[in-house]
Amino acid sequence: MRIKGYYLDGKSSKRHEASLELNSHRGIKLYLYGPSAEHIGHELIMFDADSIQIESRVANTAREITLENDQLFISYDNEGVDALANTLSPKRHKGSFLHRLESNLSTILIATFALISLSYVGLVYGIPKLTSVIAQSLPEVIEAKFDQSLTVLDNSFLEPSELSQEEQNKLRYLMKPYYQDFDNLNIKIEFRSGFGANAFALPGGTIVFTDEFIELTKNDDEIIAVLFHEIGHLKHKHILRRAIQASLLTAFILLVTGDLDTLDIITGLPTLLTDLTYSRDFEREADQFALEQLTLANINVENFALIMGRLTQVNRMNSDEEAGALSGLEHYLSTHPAPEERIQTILDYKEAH
Amino acid sequence: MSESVTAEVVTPINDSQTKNILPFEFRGQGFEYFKLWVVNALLTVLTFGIYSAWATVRNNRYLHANLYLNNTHFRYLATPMQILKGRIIAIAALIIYMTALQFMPTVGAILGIALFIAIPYFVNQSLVFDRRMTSYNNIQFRFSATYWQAVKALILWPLLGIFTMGILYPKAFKEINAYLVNNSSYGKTQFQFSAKAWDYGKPALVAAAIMLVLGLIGFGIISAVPAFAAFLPVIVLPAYLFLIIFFIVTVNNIFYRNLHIDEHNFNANFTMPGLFKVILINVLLTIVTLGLYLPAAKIRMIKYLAQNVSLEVNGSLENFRAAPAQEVGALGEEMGQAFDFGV
Repeated sequence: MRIKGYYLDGKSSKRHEASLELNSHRGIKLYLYGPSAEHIGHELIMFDADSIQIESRVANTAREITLENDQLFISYDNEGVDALANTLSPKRHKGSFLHRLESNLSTILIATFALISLSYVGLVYGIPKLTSVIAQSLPEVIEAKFDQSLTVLDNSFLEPSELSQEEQNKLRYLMKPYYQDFDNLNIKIEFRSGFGANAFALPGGTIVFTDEFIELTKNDDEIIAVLFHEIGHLKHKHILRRAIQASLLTAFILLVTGDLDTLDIITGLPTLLTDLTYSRDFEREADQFALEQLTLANINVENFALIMGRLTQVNRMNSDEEAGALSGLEHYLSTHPAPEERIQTILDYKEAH
Repeated sequence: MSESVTAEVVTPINDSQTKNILPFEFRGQGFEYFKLWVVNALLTVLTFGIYSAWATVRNNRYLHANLYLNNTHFRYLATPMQILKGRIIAIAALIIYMTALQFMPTVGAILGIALFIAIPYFVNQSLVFDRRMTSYNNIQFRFSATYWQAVKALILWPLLGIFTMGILYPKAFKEINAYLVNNSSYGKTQFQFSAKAWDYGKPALVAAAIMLVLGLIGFGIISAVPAFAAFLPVIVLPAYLFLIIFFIVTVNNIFYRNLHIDEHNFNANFTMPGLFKVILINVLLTIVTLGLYLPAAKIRMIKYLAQNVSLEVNGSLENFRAAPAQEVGALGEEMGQAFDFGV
């Protein structure tokens, strides 16, 4: 059997047409064809079969056989090289195992299916589960580091509250009985303005209500409902978990795709979409927490639905309701679940209890 | 002008023999690569990442072996063990650093400063590794730069760019690319980079001017009709994408048009519509297939990149000589691999 290919001497970039042959004494005969050997048609170099190394096969790419002293033989005859490798060492010819996996259509189908299932399980159960384990075992020190975030917000988005000190104290006094059970969360209530009708929790334990939000509420129970929602975020360490999940997600995508260099734009989008899905799950978890606490405190959960409905209305009016075509997409691009869905969940909860 | 024309007329035979434009060509196929990729990805996930070293080698071997110039392919030489060792070192270093930062902040801070000082060294080492692991016609590429050269190109010039509010950015850009090219060689033959800072400055000015005009128009419209503010994201996002594509196309064109080796000159003809089409198709198909198109997207991108780069050969490509074997300390090489900064 004679394998056709090219020979390179390892010193210059000049290619020589060549062919390679195994003789009966485990010797490799390499014939070079070219002008330098014109008188006999070829030049012959001998190698010991043990001194050569046959590279494993990767799809149908050119196959290299490395010879002594950086010399190289290249062939496109993969079948021929496989046969040579098999003759030389039938047992050690393991390189072709991977190639068989990679070229067999049924293994490809199984691998594709397995990869999709594993990714699904990993993204939907694995990462969130691993995240809560990590979040629970992390020392409190890390969370405390986030505590300066209100100062940052004060310097950028937020403005001081226009509520009088007296009004603020009255509201704090109102909320105190409902959050004092969670003293390990270090809850502090703050009032600001300039961010629309909103309330949010910062990881250090600070819960911020905006003046516009307070104005929007019709009774105290509505404020308590939203307070419980924010406590839910703190209780479940949502901001810390979102940060951990984001890094786990990146690591996971890196693991599956192998590299990120050329495809940043392409892998970035699914990462964002998954991150937003996690964010919506957190909102649902916080809603659930609020519902349970409201029931314990004997407050009608309908108040929660009412304030949510009003918040949605106000926020939608402000954003002027963008084009209808976008509203379908909006669901996937939002950090929060659709308000209609959340309100329905509250009403369902009310009926069930 | 007329002189060069007569020269061509006088020696047409000689000219056609020595001057030759050779395109790069990528012969990989989407589905073929997908088969490799999906098995690699599955084995990587099943082995909790350990197989990733083998996956990297097999993927890179496929991608290199399908890149052709003058009917000859490139070759990837790294072994899985080299890659694995590098990754283990990197992860160990990261864990030590994070633990130190958490429990012994002073030690952590010192480690952080040490790492910062060592970055230029690591970048050099990772480039040494990268170049050495690529060969063409059985001759390896090489990289050799001093620590000081790396400091200048990677830290000082970009800092100067920042301190001058971006005025020196084009110069910094040129210096980084000059560092990458002029310290690289194919065998014994060094690459040369001929770009001037102004080559980068001109397109930067054009882009800045376009953005300024668009920004002013947008601002004008919004202050006249505030309701249009709702459409702002619809305008800003495409403008952002436009800028990214403009940047990639311009920088790559400048890079290859100023890249030389011996008397051979590289050339590139990337266009914004061409690149946009590739990105658009890739993004759409990747979303629709829930990511399964990713490997094929990579093939499409490399194909586009390869198609638009060519080498103008003056003389022969057969006279390159291999550089003498190079002994890189095992640790240096793995450190380079571990801190692969992807320059």
